[in-house]
Amino acid sequence: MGHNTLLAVENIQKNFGGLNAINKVSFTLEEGRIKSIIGPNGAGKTTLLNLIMGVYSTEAGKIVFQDHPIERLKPHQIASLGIVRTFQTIALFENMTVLENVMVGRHVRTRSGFFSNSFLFPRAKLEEAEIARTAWEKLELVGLRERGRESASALTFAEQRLLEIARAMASDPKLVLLDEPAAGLNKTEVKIISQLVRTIRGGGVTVILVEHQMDLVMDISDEIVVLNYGTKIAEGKPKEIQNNQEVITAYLGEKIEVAEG
Amino acid sequence: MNRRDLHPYRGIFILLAITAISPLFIRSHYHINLMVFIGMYTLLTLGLTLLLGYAGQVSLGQAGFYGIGAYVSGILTVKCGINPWLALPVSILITSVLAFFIGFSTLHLKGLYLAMATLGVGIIFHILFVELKNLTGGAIGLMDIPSLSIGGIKLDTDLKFYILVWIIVLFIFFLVTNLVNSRVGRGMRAIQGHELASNCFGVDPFKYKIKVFVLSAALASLSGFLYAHYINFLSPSVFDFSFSILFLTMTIVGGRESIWGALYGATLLTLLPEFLRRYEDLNVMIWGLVLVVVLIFFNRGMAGGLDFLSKWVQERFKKKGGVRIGT
Amino acid sequence: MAFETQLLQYVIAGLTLGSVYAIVALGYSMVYNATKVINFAQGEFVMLGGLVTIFLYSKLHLPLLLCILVTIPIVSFIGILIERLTIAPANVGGQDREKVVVILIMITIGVSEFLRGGAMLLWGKDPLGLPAFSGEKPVVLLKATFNPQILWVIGITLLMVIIIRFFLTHTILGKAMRGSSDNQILARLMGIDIKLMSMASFALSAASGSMGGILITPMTLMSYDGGLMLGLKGFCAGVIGGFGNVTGAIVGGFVLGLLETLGAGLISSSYKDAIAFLTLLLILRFKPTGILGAKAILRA
Repeated sequence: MGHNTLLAVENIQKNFGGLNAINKVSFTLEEGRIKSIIGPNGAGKTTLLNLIMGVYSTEAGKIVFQDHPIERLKPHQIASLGIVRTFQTIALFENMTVLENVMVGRHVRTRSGFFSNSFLFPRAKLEEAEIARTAWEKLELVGLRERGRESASALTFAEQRLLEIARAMASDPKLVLLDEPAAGLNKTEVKIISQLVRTIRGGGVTVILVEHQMDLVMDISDEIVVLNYGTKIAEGKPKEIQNNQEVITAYLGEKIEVAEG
Repeated sequence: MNRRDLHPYRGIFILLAITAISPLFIRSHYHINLMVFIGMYTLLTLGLTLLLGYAGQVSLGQAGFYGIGAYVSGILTVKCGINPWLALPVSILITSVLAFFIGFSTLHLKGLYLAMATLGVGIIFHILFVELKNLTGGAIGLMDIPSLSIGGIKLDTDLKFYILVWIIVLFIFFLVTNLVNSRVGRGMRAIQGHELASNCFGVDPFKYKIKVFVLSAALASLSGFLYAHYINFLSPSVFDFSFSILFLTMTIVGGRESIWGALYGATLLTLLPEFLRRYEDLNVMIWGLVLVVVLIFFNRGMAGGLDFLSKWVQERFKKKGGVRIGT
Repeated sequence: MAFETQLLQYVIAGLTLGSVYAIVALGYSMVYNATKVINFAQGEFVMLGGLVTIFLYSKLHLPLLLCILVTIPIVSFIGILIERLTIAPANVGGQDREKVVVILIMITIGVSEFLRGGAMLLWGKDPLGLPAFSGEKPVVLLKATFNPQILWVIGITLLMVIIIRFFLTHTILGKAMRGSSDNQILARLMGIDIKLMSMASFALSAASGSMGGILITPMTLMSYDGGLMLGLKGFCAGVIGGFGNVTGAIVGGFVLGLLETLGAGLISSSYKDAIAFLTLLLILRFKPTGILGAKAILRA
């Protein structure tokens, strides 16, 4: 593996029945970068994230994270290696408070179980304090601190997107997979997301960003991978992608989203 | 430790007060006996509440684990002369291992596997209790089970046993409250909220579901142990399928989303038959009706109703500009 | 008695018992396919079939055939009532299907208790009987003697299940009933009235269940709690054959009936009741989709 390569995806493949969703996709990702994955609707972007996260298993190829092959692992195991994600359709725990949602984000970094928690062992109490502290910190990061004690279902849509990010950051991950974090947001809100992603990268976290909002993508990406019908049709720096003929053709007939303001 | 730290335990303090004061007003053995049963049934139901409310699973065989707890201890103390307090861990261990095996075989699969497996196991064990006559005394029963002793004091009166049972129940509620308010409780609620997302943040639903199931079985066997050494006699008829349904009814009626629902359900369904003594024949029919009505109209059970009521009261207080009751 | 004769005796008894299990399992299957609900009150339809007929025969002194023809629609109607009063209201609300199913199952358990309790009030605790359909004179086959009622049980059951199976697999209404729970939106788009399918499945399963009760009551008598074990074992039969699978229900029923009588006769009769549940556990462990493969209630 290359010296700074965090993630290497090699020739992964996913079929759903007769439909080929991901076809021999490969790319590498260096530490501390923001790599975006774009493509028309149905290109397989979310499927790709699901494959990395272990939600789906790849039928061929390898996924290697920091020299660990992870293609056979389950999501919770992958989470413990330092990869987390947000979801395209909000996947918050609506039965819990905003704070508790972020606290669950920290679950993978903590260990106390049934016994130590029931009997209030010091280890459990210390861990609980640390979880709370980290959770408040992350809420502060995304600007939701005042809403901490409310139910997650009481948040606005934009706030829920922010909460998803806070939850993802709670485990101090190495790699964050953001699945359309700006979808459905207005121009101001997209700017906030953009700033947030930059801050995340600034903290040393690597980001894979799936997005439709081209302004956002072109603005913050270090590199872009373009998928169409499950195949990678282009990869490179934003300027290269913008001028890539194949990419433009793939998007023709597709309205490229620009945030309404 | 300040007031805020003790806040989650306020229910336990209230219960402690109620159970401590009650014997001063209730003198009849009959009523003390009832309250002992409420305590034991609360433990049984609590297991189901945790299983249903936190792991989203149904067990149709809780009476089976209840019976195993009772008979293992009964047999060890009567036939092998073992001290009951030594039989207790054996009883719980055997039940837990069995539950682990069942859970391990069924809980990684979606659907109603656990419900069906517990249905089968519960009924099979009931049949074993009846048929293994040399061991269990069969339908005639297992007799002369010794009472428990603590520090030389024999717990052979209703009142003494009442004290033991409620100390145990209070302690269990203390443990469960801690559990539910912890990382573990959050993890389980996250599974209920969005299983896939919880998985992506390190919660392994399989592991948690098994642990909750084993816990529910362990609580049942603890209850069985207490029953055996209280009544000093075991008959298979109290460990059959209809009792599994009764405990499930207590869970639903009491409210399956709150651990206190176990107490409410156990209390109501133990006291109600006493009030309806005259209409004893209507018992089964009423249970069925209550279960159906609660499930359709009062989904959150008594605990949900109380929660709703207290929130309503708080809202009214707020509107009147009165002193705001702490949340 | 020669061993072969004894064996034949067990087999015939097994087929008889299996007939009832097959009817009950088929009932579960019909309701499940139409609504995704496991109706644990299925056994009570059998019980009601027997007891209502007894009421009409013993108290109103109607001729037996008339009693049977009146009972079936009555129990069928009870089935529809159950569906309308308990299943339909609980189904409302866009909750996660899996969580609703657990609630619906517990509702049917409650309904089963209610019916049992009600039957106890109306008919008392003692088992009651009906006259045999064609007299008491034992039939002899290959030196094995058996109750002529057996011919009725097995015969009519086979007729019923063949007709029902044909209905479910070859008629449009039947196929609609089977498929409407799989994709409710699609079903609605195709003009299938889901409400009607739901009611029809309950009506049909109640009707067939009641027929089962009527058939066996002359032989085994019927009491208020006769439906409980039948319902549970019939459920086992359904799982054994492949839950939700129509042919599987029939096969599972007869297989279980045979296992039970052969096991009781050849191995031990005290553990007879355990056989059904032991088989259930074994199937869950080794072939959860059942003998013929289930529609997935149990997805991995």
